[in-house]
Amino acid sequence: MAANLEMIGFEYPASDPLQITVKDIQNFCLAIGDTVPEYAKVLAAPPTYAIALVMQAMTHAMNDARLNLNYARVVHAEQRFEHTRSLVSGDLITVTLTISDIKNRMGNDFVTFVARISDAKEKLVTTSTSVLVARSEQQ
Amino acid sequence: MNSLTSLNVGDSLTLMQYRVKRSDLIRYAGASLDFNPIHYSDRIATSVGLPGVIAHGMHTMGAVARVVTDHLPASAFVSSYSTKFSNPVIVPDDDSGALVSVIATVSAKEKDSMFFSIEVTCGNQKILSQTKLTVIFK
Repeated sequence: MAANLEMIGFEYPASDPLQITVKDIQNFCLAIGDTVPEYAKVLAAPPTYAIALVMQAMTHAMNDARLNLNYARVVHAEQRFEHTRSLVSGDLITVTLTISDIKNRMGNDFVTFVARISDAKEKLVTTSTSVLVARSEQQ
Repeated sequence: MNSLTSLNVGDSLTLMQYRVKRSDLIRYAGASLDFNPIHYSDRIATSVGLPGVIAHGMHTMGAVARVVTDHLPASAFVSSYSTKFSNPVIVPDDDSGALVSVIATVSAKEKDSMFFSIEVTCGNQKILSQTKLTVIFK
């Protein structure tokens, strides 16, 4: 089972706008052991919070029959975030996901997803690059 | 350690250690929307060749960033953060969990930014590699 190389460069439709809430950020902070003020009106998100915003789109893509990935054997190989500022509660964001690269090495499929998160003014806030590997059935 | 900016190239921040337990992974799954069963089911984790339940790589990456972000003033933000995941954190089903150790060292310094290189280990194993974090002071 090899991933479909014709999907390189494929861009999924932008997500519906999503508002980040104080509660969303608080829950994420608690989950990574970050300290968080209990009654903050506005919270800046930790640098890896963006993954929670792109996970739904990425899970959808990994299960996309056209990509032909074995989702059960997927592990995370590399991750990079570039931020022009911190995401904050109240941000109304949209996510655009692109498959930027697919490589097959010794039966393992390496898929690179680039997710761009833009704010209500359509300014780019975060670029998240994830390299995921669907490990070969032989391993 | 009072001020991040007083550090020089080659200086390290105080060692940070944290424990990760099964309950932390359940919490992280809910907060991050990553419900892959290898992060809560031994049965499924072993069926795909893992030694047991492992932490989400992104849980580790998130928790590790605190070694720097715990010291950030409100005016600063992380502009870049990247890593490779080299070995999983195996999380036993007990009350103490796995102990992860984190050391951040200043690798470069400019007028408005600082660059850190971060080492992450669990037991004798390197968990993350090529972990780099950049802070911008506004």
